[in-house]
Amino acid sequence: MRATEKTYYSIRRLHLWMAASSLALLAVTVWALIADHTRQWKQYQRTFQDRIQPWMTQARIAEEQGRESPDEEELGRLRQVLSRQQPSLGKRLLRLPLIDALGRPLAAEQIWLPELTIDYNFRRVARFDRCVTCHQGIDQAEPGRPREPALRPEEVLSVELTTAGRAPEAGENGAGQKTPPSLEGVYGLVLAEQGILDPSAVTIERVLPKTPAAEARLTAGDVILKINDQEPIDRAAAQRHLLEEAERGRAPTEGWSLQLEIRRGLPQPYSSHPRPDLFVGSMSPHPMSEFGCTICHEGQGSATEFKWASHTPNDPGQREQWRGQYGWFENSHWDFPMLPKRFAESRCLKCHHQVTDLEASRRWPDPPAEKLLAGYQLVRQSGCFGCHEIKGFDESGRSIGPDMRLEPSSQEAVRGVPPGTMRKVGPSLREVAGRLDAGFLDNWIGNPSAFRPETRMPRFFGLHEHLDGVSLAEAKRFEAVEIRAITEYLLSTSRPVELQAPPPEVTERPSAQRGKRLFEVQGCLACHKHRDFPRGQATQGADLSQLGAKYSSQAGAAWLASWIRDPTRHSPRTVMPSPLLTPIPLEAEYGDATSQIPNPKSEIRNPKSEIRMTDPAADIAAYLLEGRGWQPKARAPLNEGDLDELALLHLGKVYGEKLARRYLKEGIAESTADRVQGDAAELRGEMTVEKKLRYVGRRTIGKRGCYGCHDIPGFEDAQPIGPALTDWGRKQESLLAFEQIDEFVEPAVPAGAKQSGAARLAAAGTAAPSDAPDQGFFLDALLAHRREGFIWQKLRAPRSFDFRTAAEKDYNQWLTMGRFQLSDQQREAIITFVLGLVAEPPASAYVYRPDPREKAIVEGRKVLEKYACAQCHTLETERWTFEFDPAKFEDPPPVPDYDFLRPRVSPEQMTASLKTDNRGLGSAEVAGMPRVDAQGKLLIVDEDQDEQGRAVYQYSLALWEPAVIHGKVWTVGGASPLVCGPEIVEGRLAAGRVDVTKWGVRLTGIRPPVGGSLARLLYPVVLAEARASGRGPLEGEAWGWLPPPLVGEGAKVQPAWLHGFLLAPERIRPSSVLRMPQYNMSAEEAGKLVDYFAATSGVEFPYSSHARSRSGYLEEMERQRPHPEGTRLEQALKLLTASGTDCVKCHLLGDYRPGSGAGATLAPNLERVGRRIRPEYLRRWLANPKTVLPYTPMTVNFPPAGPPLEPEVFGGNATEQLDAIMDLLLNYDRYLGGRTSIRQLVPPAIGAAANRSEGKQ
Amino acid sequence: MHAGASELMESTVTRVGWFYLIASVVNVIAAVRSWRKQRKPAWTIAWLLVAAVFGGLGGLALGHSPLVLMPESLKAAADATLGPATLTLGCFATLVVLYLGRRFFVIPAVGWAMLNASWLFLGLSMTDAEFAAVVGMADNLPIVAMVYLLAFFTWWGAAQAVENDRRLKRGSPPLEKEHGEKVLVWPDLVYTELICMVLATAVLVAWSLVLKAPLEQPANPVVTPNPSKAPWYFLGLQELLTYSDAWNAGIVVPCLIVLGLMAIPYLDFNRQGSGYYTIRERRFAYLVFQFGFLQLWVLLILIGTFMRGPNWTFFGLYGVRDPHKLSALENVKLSDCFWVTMLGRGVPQVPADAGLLVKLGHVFWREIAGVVLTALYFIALPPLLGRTVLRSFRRRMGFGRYTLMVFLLLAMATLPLEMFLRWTFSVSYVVSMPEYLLNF
Repeated sequence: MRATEKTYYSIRRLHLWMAASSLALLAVTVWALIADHTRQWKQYQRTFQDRIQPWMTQARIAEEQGRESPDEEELGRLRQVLSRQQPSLGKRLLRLPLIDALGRPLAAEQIWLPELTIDYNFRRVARFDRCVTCHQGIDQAEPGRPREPALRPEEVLSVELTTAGRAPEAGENGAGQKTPPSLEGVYGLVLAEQGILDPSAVTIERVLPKTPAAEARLTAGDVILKINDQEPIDRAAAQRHLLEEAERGRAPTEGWSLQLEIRRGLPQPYSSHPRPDLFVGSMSPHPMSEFGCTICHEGQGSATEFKWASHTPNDPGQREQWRGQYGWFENSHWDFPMLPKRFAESRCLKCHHQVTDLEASRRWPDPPAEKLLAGYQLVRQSGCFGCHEIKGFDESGRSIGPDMRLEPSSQEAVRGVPPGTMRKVGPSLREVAGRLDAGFLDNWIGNPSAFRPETRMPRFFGLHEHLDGVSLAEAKRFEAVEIRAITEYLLSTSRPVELQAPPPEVTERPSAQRGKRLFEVQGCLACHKHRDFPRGQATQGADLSQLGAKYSSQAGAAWLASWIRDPTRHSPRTVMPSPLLTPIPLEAEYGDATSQIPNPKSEIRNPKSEIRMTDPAADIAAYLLEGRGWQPKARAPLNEGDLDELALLHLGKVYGEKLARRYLKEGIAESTADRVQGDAAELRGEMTVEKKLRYVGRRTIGKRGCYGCHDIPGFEDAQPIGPALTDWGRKQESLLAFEQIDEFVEPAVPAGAKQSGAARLAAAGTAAPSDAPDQGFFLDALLAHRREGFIWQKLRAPRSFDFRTAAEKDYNQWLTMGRFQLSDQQREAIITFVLGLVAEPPASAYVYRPDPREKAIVEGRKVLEKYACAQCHTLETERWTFEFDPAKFEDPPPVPDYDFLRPRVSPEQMTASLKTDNRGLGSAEVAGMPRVDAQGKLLIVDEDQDEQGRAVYQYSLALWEPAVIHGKVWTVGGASPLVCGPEIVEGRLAAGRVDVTKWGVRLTGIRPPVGGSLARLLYPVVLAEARASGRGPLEGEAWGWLPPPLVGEGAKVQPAWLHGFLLAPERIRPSSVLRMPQYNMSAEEAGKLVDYFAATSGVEFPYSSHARSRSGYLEEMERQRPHPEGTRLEQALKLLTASGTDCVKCHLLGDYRPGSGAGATLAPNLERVGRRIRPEYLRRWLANPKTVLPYTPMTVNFPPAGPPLEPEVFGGNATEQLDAIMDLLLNYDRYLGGRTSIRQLVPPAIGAAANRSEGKQ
Repeated sequence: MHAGASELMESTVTRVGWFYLIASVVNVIAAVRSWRKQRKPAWTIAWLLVAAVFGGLGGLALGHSPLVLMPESLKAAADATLGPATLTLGCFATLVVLYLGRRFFVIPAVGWAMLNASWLFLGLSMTDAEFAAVVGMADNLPIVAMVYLLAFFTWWGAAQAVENDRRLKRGSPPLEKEHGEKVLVWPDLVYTELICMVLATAVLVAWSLVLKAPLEQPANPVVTPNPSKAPWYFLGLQELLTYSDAWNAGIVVPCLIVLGLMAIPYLDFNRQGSGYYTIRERRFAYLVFQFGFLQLWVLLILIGTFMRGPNWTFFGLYGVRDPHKLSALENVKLSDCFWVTMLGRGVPQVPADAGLLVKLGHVFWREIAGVVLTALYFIALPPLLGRTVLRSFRRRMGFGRYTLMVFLLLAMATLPLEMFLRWTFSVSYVVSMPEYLLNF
């Protein structure tokens, strides 16, 4: 057919269609461009580049200009930076849609981490984190202050601004014209034309130094929200309001002040990471470029939009806020949702498998992972690992997490290398029949907290809040049987007790009165609590207040005394040390308060004398047995029908019901006994009720896992009963049995006939659901079937997952976990720890591998924790921070001293100490022991009141470390700085403001000491006793009678000596009130402690030697400085014992003992010094003891200035005398060796024979 | 999951409100069109009324009034009625009704009314969280669109066919002949194609801006999604797995489908109805296609998409997708029925260590009932049909073509038969020879 011009469709209409569809295409293209241009991250980057960066630089310029001597070079540099940061036309062009694809200045930034892989199931792939695309300033630290983030996270605070108290004066401009009064003149602050993010926010642009605004610590960038509870509408209104208030300040009182509510910092994603010295900062251990973000935080790192990054809200409030603000939703398709803030610390465990390396240290005084550590300690103390294996190694022996396996019960049971190290947390029950009766055991097993409210033992019976109807009745019947059965099993398998008899020289009967005093001062309170001593708050051991009700039998009482004498005898693995109590003579003065001050007679005792001796262990036992007040519930009669039924349930599972019934009726005949295995062996022979009880008891112990915490006969090889926690933090949520928990906890349960779980929980004494953020968070998680919700509920009401399913199951298949007594906080800490157990260590380069020194510290901390060393000994002294007015702060008085005692201060330290802030105040940190009064309370040197009538106190702190304050060096042992501050209540600063300009100095922070609570507890006690006996000691001297602080212990003692001492402690200081007990510690553990102290003190380890003990040293000295009268050491000994040097007035030396000295003033025997003390330490000690131990009563015996002592005995100056004494003390053994002639002891015949044989050759 | 329900309602109900308003506007347009073009005031009034109803509903929904929510009783009733059996039977019945009443249903106003009814159903159902979640899922959107497209094209094709039938009856040529089908490449074809390209691009861009790619988490070999669903076009086959053995549903049936489709040109002997829509002249082909495609393929896809939830359990449109829902599945083999129920004896045991032939003999003996039935079905039925119902076919097609066609038809019919055996007698396999991986 020939073509014609005629068309099938109307061309005009086609044109219209074409036009319309083209327009549609154009529209969607524009839409796409707009959608791209307004992408969240682009908006964030534009805001960051245009507003925040220039603001920051401007603030820095203003700060630099405000200094007394601005650094022009720095200023120039900052101005250049600012000009680069200002938004320019070119920049705007480059940020246009499509053009911005060039990649600058807008760019999706990412960190590529090929080593830190992410598990995509089929393979591990490199991580790439784009978080910095939005979080642009995340890695910025404050210049010069690496611990402070440059862009602080947003917070709202209230500050007090002091007004001038007079009408604002008009200012004057450069031309001499009057200008109206300004905020700058009145308060020293300048308001910005525009806010940083919100242009209308009333924002402070600049704060002038040494003005009221600076005094109120306002900073550039602060947004004023309210002035005296009134919201400023805009900048002008705020300015007017502030000026009016300044004028009004004149009227009522001097120093009328203004309350400002301000918002400081920036919201996310603009603010920087907290603690940039620890995280993200380029100098920190976790630089962002190497670690990225998701390795710790999880979440979807490749996302560039809030809702796709799998952020996780911290509580329901935040969830709702995010939903509205960012369209947040719970993305179930991402397997690694970001950790909510509350669990942020849990991922530290990925790399820090030792856990104790996360404790606060000198370098990071604020604990890096406080909650996680708390969780670890709770897991350790509660013994979770007894039932739930926490294994630190995978099959190939690679470290995958913290290793908290139980130690094997025998050498044969060692499985895997290395074996576990954790001890069972409960006491051994191998000789329980010798100390406890059935009545007590029934009560205790049934509900431990009824007897001891704070016990760590969980409750296993009577947890019925999830049961009803038949199940409830069944639980009640069978549980009663189970309790009886466990008691029967324990008592029948218990071995006979061999008691430790009291020492033969004891003549006196036990006395509770003496016991009470001994209990207090002999260190029991370091671990145990007792209601008679409310100040003792130790939780390491049990509360002993009601021990009399526990050991009510004669045998129990005898056992207690024997236990105190030597716990290891009864339980070889107990952590309770042997207190090494020796009989104490009953003297006339025993009975009064001074009895605790050891008497020389207890040290050197003549056993043949007629001294009446007391047995301290028996005394303490007698005292403890007085504590009663608890009445056991009477035992209910055993229902044999229930017993049979329960036994049948167990036995039927193995042998079938028919055979089981026969066995239960007739017993298992001896002829067929060899076919019977396992627990049923209890049923062999003639059947009795006891046998059935033992059988059920054994099954119950096995079922409930009692052996996870207690050493129980018959369960030596039993394996943990609970699911392993090794990788619980990654356990698939679909594998967790949530069962009917929704109905149990949800308050609005449909069909109201049944009581809701919330009401049940409330009735059972467990917290009921509420709107509290924490509770809400966990409830959400529980109802969404997330693992944090599961574990929360498991810890709160462990059996509630059986709600309504219990009825479907056999009684023995019900859940068995006991309920621990935990606070909400503790639960959260444990959850943090367990969520961190992911068994997914990153590449080995990232796993924390401490260097030998750090490793020694980490390992040592575990031993310290295990034996609770820090209960008695202070490991770190208290630290105070304060600020001061350099003009008013007094300098320390100059002290003449040896050169080698002068602290080394670097020029940087010196300059840093001279730095002042914009209020003109300096700040300093000092370490030491605050001085206390006779009651052990903080000593208040002076007290005054400020204008408002608020009390201002002046405290004093004895320095333990030299400090540099405003360019002046304060030495240890010299003057103590006096610091003013508000009241200190229980180690914390109470609220209140102290005017620095008036008092010159203000305490701003207290970091409590680590350890030593027992020493602080006993200080007033021993002081009072000493005073009562008429011996008023010098200030602080009583510290010397108590467990010594171990700060710098490694620099003090020689490793070999310390190792021996830890294993077999000897009495060093005759004056001490209590002695170091003997721990059940292995040589390896002692070695770890020795290394720990050496490592923390920064001295060499593991071996050390010193020049003065090397052979030839003494001869060399002899050659250099010959003494006509005798050898160097002889002369030194003469000097030591001369009357001018006061050494032997207090110190014992060999068999010599100062005559009149009472115990309290006796000093350690000098003959051990050479083995014990390190030479460097000894030198400092001899030169000026107080620079080493500020409270020591020892005086300076060789003053650096003035004529030397006893020049006729030993010539030379003080330094030379010091050296000679040191040589003597360090070589005392050799000196003594030189005095003993062996030749005379050898019979001449042998000597002659030896000579002949030599001659033959 | 729990807390989210109320917010989901809020946002969904708002969306439903807009949906109603759009439906209302479209009906106003329809009213105007029917007034101006067709001059049918009755329809104009009807569409205006419908528009008013939709408008009112939209207003109520935007005001978050509970009146727009679908009544729970209705949902419960719908869920109680709907099951695989009722759905299949209902679909069959609907196809029959549509076929018989095709002259009525192709009236444009009737079609429009049906479309409006479907919108009302959709709007009401969308207020149910479960329905909204399933239908609104980004993966399922194309399937919803497909339902409407399929319905429209079926309707349109039928409308033209009915019109042609009418014309042929009158003796006039079909529509296609009358208009002549030749058009110019330019501008008619190329220009139209260009417009389609532009529009398709615009639609795709808009779609990509509105909906994210429905990606899920990285695959995990130990945790498979529940339910694991095939791509939508294979969901029909997956649904077949519920009734038939994997080997059968996964290999035999697809192969037969492909072979059958390939065989159609060689089996088709009807010279009428070529090049234009007609039903009357190709009744057999039309019915087989309607049944085979809509009933046995599309319906199964829809069931697989919308009605199958966790554990591949059947859920009503509004049923909560509870992974713990129990559905009793009892599988009985025909051999069990035959030996145990009918004869009252035990099922013959196959000796474990017998030789190949002995074993084979035993297996056949055990399955004797199924084997005989299957043989009768495939061997005895074709001649029987050829003498009765399909006599004309046999005559016109010859033995070979006839046998092939009947075999294919019978094979197709096994699917509904298997479904009914399962629903009524819980019979899973007619012939079960797991020893040789043969189950039918």
